Amino acid sequence: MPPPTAAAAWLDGGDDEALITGVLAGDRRAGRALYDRHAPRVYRLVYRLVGDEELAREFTQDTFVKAFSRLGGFRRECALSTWLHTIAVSMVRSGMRRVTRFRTREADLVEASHVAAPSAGADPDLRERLTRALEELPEKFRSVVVLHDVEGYTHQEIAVMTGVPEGTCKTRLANGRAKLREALAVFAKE
Amino acid sequence: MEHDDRLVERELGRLRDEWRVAGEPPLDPMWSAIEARAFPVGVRRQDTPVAPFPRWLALAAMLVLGFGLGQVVPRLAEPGRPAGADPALAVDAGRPDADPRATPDAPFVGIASGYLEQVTALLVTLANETEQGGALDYSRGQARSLLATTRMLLDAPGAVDPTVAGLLDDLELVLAQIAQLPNRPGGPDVYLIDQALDQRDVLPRLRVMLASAHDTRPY
Repeated sequence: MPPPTAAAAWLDGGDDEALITGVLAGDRRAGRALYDRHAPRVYRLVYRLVGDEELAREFTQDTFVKAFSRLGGFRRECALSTWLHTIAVSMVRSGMRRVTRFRTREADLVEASHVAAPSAGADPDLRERLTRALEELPEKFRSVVVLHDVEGYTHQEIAVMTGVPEGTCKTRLANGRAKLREALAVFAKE
Repeated sequence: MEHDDRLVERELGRLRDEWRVAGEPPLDPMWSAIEARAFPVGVRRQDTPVAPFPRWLALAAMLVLGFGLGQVVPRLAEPGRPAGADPALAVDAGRPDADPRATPDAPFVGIASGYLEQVTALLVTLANETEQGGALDYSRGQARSLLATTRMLLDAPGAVDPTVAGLLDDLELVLAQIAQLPNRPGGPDVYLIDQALDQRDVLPRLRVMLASAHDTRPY
């Protein structure tokens, strides 16, 4: 854990509300302190969702730029951290759509110039099978499974973050788990 | 099925510490990129921590103790005239046999003098109230009253020079913020006022204006 910045140390006892006011007044130090307080969690969440350091960094940056620009409209209906995570999830979803399109085009080009490579060999263990299954889940299922089962958010929080009703979150979690079970069942038979 | 459920749940729980676990976030490089986009160039950067209320107190006290508030009056009342050129104007303004030069501006002399004195006192009082955690009723009431005076001074044609008018503009904003403070000290609204004072250099400008009047005063 790196040492906290001077701004973070100064504002250690302050609450988010004071920092928000500072940011709205154009105070960069308040912005930095607010960022120092929340960025590590946002970054870890984003990394968990995208699994790529460069993308995690980009999406985290985009999250805070957007958050600072919209801070005046933050209505205090949820904790600031939840609001930031909502923006982060939204950034990841829209960003990953672009990344996926790009990668699909890239993969098409590679495929066109090479004989299709065989898929990876037999899964060495259950964990790898599970992580692969998780990564191959459709995004709408994967994000809910990751947020709920890996990150430990409640359905209520996930509903806020993903902008879908709580019931839909529960359904997506059940569907996502079902797909993972299928993957593990195959493993069990092997 | 139940076995599968437990297996999935157990394995997912294990992933928490093993799957896509981020390393230390690159906070400084990310902040550099964020800062460049989120805080436009030109917004003043503050590298030292703000200590809002002691600074108010110190500066406001310096304004009160260090300079004669009345010395600034001629500058407020009559652009072009050396500040403090004729302090008797203020004293004689209300008399029937007063110097005729004083006639049109004399009412402003008294008002402006009292105004600056009261603004300074208000900042001292607000700093005290905020530090001691008291109610802000008095400061809010004073701010409302001074706001009216500020607007009157600003609306008076030719009554103030552009420099002073600029200061009055900024004081108007600060007074409006104080007048709208919720009746609880130490909240973010007070922080906002401190930011306004700081970013607009209100106190230093007030101090310079008073010092200038003080320096040009005849001995």
